[in-house]
Amino acid sequence: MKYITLLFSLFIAPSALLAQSFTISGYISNKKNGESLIGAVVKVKSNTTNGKIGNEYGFYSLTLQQGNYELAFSFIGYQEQSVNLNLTENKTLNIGLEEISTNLSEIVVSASKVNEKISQSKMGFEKVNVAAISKLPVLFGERDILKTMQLLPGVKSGGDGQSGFTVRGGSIDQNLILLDDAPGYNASHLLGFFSTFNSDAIKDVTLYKGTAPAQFGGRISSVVDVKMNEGDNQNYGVSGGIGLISSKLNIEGPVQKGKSSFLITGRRTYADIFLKLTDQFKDNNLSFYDLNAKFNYRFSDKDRLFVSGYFGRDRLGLNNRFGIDWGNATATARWNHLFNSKLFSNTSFIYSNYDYNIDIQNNANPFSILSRIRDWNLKQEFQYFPNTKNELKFGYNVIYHTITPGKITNKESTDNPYQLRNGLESAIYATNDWQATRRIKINYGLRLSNFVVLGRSDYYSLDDEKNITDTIRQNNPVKSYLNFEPRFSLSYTLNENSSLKAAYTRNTQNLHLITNSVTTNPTDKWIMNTNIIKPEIGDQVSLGYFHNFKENMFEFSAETYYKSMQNQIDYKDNADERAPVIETQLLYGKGRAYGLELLLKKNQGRLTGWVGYTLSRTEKQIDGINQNEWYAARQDRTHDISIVTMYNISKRWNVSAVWVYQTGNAITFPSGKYEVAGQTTWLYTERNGYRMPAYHRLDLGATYKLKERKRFNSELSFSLYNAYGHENPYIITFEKSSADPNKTVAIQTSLFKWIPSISWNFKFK
Amino acid sequence: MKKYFIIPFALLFLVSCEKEINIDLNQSNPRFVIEGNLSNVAGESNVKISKTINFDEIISNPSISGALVTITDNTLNQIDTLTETSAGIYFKPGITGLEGHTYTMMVNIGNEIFQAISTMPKSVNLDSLVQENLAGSGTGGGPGGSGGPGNPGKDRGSETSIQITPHYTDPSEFENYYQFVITRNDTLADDIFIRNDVGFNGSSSHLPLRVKADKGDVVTIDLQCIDKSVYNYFFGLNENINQSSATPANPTSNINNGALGYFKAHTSKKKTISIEY
Repeated sequence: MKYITLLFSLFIAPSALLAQSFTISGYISNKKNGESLIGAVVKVKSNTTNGKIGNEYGFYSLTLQQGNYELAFSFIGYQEQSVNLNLTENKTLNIGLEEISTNLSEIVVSASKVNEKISQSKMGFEKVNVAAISKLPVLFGERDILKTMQLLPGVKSGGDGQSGFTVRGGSIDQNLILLDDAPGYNASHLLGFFSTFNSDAIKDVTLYKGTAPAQFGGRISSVVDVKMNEGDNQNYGVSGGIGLISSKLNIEGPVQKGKSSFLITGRRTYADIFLKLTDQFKDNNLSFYDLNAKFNYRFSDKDRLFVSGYFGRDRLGLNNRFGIDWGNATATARWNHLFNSKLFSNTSFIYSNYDYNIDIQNNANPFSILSRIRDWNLKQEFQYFPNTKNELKFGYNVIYHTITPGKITNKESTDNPYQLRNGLESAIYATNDWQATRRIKINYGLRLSNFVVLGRSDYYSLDDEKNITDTIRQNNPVKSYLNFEPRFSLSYTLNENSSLKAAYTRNTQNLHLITNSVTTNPTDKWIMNTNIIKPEIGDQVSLGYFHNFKENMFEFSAETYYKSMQNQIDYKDNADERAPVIETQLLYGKGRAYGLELLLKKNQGRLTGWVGYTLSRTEKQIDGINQNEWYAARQDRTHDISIVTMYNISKRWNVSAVWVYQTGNAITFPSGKYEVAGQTTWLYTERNGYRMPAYHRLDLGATYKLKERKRFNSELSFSLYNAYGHENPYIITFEKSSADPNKTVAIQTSLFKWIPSISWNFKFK
Repeated sequence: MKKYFIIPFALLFLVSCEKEINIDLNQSNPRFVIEGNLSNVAGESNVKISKTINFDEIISNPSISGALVTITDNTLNQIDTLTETSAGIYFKPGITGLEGHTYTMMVNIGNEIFQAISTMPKSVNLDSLVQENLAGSGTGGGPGGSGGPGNPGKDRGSETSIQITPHYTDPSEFENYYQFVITRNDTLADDIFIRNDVGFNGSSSHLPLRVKADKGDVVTIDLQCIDKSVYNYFFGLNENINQSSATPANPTSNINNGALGYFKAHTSKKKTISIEY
């Protein structure tokens, strides 16, 4: 390891070796509960550029020349802390920051002038403040970070009853959703009404809109990096909430006071219990539960272990005849090690499993279908802080994927081991954050990714008409794909309040979700690269202007992007989604997406919130679809507006409102009709040539703080989803008019008009 | 599958709602629709020609008269010309197809020519029809088949659904494609039932078909052997009618030059059953 340090020292920072310099390093955490603060800022007061940002474990390292310094530690919502020191040797300095009590001041003011967006070289990223979203109106009283994220420009929700979201024209499978480093393959419960993230367990969420640095890879549109809380290492605490259809409970506390802690959070819906009490619906079931648990242990000043896990399951049953259940399970073990004050290392072992199981009960031939995607994942990352101007990350990642595609079990079934498909995905990367001049910051990096389609499974050769001509069954790897992914972003600070940024990134993707183009559901198929399906490649260039004004009370940003995508996948015309060899139903081509994203945010004052607008276009060109012409992708939406407001009326009352408007999805509708085989049939003229009606909705919310006691406080939250009762379409079908069978009508199905809800949240300390 | 997922929400929140809406669908240029049937049973072959109409038009009789229609036995090199017996229906008494022979249908409308090729497969015998004694459950058409549960594209009749099992033995030496044409009291049933022999090659089939019928009805099932391109056409047509495909489109026709429809050379084995319960 010393060699690597030396090598990088020579390579990056020769000046650091010459001058007499020392390193201050340590962890920044919340003083009250020991939770590490992600992205806290440490600065030399006399020099504004010599700042450092703490990493995802709260660790910072700052190398300065010998001398006297006043250091300032700050984090949003916390009181700034200053430390004077005479630097004559390497120092360890752990800092606990104190939260600004929102009860003291009517008006929430952030402690520091946070203008992170101006100063960082990264662009196309958003942080979702978990505390702030608790004031937003929510469906069924359950706040949700993924739903809040969908209110940001460039991020689009699928609509009512649709799981998943799209980022900058990507499809829903092009988002890498990480929970403590573990990828989740289906981030929703109840068919998209809840996300799998219980916000009580979440500390920090960062979204990269295709511009993630090189340590992230594997999806071409976005990275959603979710970090769980660690648990209070000072005091035991219990908090929870009781809502109309679900309840949750959160328990945390120290294992060794001040050193290690645990956290367990669970949620469950209970609509199924009510259903059991009714005569009519007692054989039906619709429910989910999930559990987050985390434990951390500090072995020494240099070693810390985190173990975290998630387990969630949804169930849906109809008349005891049809049942489906699905869910994710992930486990992550991470080991932080400090080689020295400049070199931080993290090693993660990750297990991830997503499966769904369909049970069909009929007298003659009951059967079940199991589909599963399972990963074993090893990640190693080194973070090296050679001097104030550079910050290096390098490492590798190896994932072993196994996919079981729809294994049917019935009385007569026999196991076919060749049905399983295995793939080995690996990557090495290096990336550097470089403060080139006082005004210019550059992040550059390279990721080298490799995917091996392993043998001992059946693969197929197809002819031009997609007929299977041969089955490939061999022990050796079937195919290997290698991709270079350069990443580059630059920020130019115009003045204290504004900056210009530019970025180019390439991402590749080796796993693909083959989804129905009308609705999404948990049974959509994940498939890896094969001899036929190639890695998707996305190249994105983006430009942005960022401006803060009125002492960071307002934040404005304008970003544009152009993205070109290769090896995009779509179903052929009249595809059979149930075909045993799905490759026979697929076609491949290219895609392009471009757009403009505007965001105006108000961060301080009684009234906070934002207005976001996106103008965009997303198209595909695939031979064999739409006469080989470019056509609108399903997720293409011209306009997307969201207005989010929160208003603090009094100490006790907070109200909020969210309004969204989106152009409808592109969809294929018939343009005529005819009779064939004695039946009325639809005439189609082009793929996705029509639009669903525009989607719009207003949600209202209010929270009321109940009287606070010494060790207990609670609040009631009310919300009204879809307040003006607009019937947004879920699907549209065409059928014979019941009044006149010779006429044809369009029928729109909407899921609901409006949903009021109330929930009670409490906290014991 | 799509609609399956709505049901529990409707149950839970009683909020799912359907309504008729106005969608401004484009006008489309009329296209020709050709249905060519060539059976190995005399008197059952004909060609029907019509055209498409706009979505908001009332279905009347858009038949196409005055076309020149021929069917050629490519194996024997013998041409038959069909004559228009009623508006848009072209027929020739005595024309029958032979198993194993390949046929070309040619339709000449104005100065446009449409051609299709279809091969009549070897016939498979329909051994028996049995009505199953389990109303309201089952898996519909079975693997590769159709006529499964739910048919949102069409009017929801009040008829009960019963199961009839056609028993037959699949020949092992070929890939076989089947269509079951079902008539109920002399009216053509509303569903398309097709099957192939993937996973069943050479075995006896005992998979039931779900048919809308009531006690006392007389149901006739015609077991037709068809070629692969005709199977693919009807597969697509079924998805189209049911609006069940992820990517709705016109079914791939075996007729060239942009005509809609099909040319089907098929064998025919019929049996009739009276519905007893």
